[in-house]
Amino acid sequence: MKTLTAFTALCLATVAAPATAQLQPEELTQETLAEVMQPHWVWVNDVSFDRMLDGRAYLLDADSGQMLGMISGGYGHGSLLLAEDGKTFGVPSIHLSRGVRGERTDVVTFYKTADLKAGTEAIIPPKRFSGMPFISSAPVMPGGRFAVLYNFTPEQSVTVVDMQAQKTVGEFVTSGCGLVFPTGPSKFFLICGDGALQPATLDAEGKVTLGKTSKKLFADDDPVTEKGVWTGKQWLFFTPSGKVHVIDHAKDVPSLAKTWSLITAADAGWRPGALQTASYHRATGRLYVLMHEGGPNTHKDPGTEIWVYDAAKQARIQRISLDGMALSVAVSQDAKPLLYTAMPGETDFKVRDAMTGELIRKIEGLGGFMTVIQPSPVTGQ
Amino acid sequence: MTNRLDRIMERLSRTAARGMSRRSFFGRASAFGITAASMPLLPVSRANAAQQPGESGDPQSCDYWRYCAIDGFLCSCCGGSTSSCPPGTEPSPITWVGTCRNPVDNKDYVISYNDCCGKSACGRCMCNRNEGDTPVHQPAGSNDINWCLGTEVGVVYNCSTAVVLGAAD
Repeated sequence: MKTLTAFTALCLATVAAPATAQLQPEELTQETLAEVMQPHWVWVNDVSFDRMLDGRAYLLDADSGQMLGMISGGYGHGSLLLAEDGKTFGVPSIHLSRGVRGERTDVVTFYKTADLKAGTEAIIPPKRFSGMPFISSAPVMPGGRFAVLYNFTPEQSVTVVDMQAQKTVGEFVTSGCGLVFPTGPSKFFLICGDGALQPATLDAEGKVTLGKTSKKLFADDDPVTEKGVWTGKQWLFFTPSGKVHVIDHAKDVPSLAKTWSLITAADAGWRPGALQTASYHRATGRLYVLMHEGGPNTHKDPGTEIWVYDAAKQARIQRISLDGMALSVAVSQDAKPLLYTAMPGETDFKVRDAMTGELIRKIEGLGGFMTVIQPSPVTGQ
Repeated sequence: MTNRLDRIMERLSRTAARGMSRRSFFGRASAFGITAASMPLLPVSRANAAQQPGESGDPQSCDYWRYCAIDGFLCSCCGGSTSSCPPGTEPSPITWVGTCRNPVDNKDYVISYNDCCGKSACGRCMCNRNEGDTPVHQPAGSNDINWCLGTEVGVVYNCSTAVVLGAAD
């Protein structure tokens, strides 16, 4: 006790010392951010694969190279539901009452970009897809009114969330089809196990009605992956062999608009892969695809190069060597676009000039299992 | 819908290795009824299934033959084995399957990659091989899904097994 008293006296003496008389004690505060997500801000998922109860996402400023903040996403964190105006977002997450066990609660928690504080919660059915993060498992519809979340138990269904009212609309069965690919404010389709597409519509309240299923569109031995890219007008889907299937969704029943190949005879041995395979820059029509050299069954291998295509001309216009590997790629949608890559097992997030491919910076020391990259949203996403 | 299921079943019937599990995804009532014990009832070669495959290789190594379509932490490195879950974890009754060639007899076997559940990820011997892996919209062959489904203990994934169900036709 004497020691403690002496220590306390020493502390007080230190505080009261003449030198500190002019020092204004610092006040501990909480940072805030801009109200709107800036063009070169970017979210990156860290699914924390070896500690999946601690899923999270980091918000980065690719211009400054600074980390701005993060969210904790619960078990097996997936992607964020980014509002088009960049002001708010939802975080679908899974929680168990005893940590690794107990009652399961699935919830979408809404946040403001400005403060990253957990706000309103919408409880959703405890069925959300759990697995590797895919944006197609939880997209926001163009216009931003609704989000549609894919469920797998292994029964398949979707949950609709009203993003404006921040409430759950309900759960709707999908008849053996999965993932969600929006084509308009109230239209989307799912992919069925047999290679068909299942169209669906949302009514004004967000209730789902399934339409007529398409015929079989994709080959059994070269199925499309989950990693389609929305150009703002069409969906592009990729196959392990390097085909690009372009979907025509204008009519009630989806069909193939055209099919082209990423690979010419001169490129034999290369193929697309990765987890977030490709990204599309709408203003320039440039399609960025992670490519690697490999044979069959390498369809999830990371890319060693990014091949850039003029999607309208279906022609490669650039090759970007990565000097390493990447499992995810995304491009910002502004007039001076940045190209982002991440690789699980590495803790650096890489930022490139999307036009030249030049490496601008690495944002270092992030989590060890970064996957899906979500750049600042754009209207009509 | 009926026609689509017919087409699905027609295709599945041509591919026993994948079909045996995928069949279950389209039957709501049966989905949680699948158990490891019931797996041999599925269309694998029963005559061959009665004979255990010869073994070579290290079950703690990712290049072990049974792991041709696995994605996760090897239970063999986590207190379990290729066909048992670590203490205190619960086997998932439903799973994805692959078809792997055994180098001892050069025959193909159907492998069930049941997850073990209820404790946080083991973190040892991460192994990802994708022979015959399918996208998640073809779930029975997809290793990107957390298969801790239908368990008492819940959704938390610990590690993956590689159980031989039988010889592939």
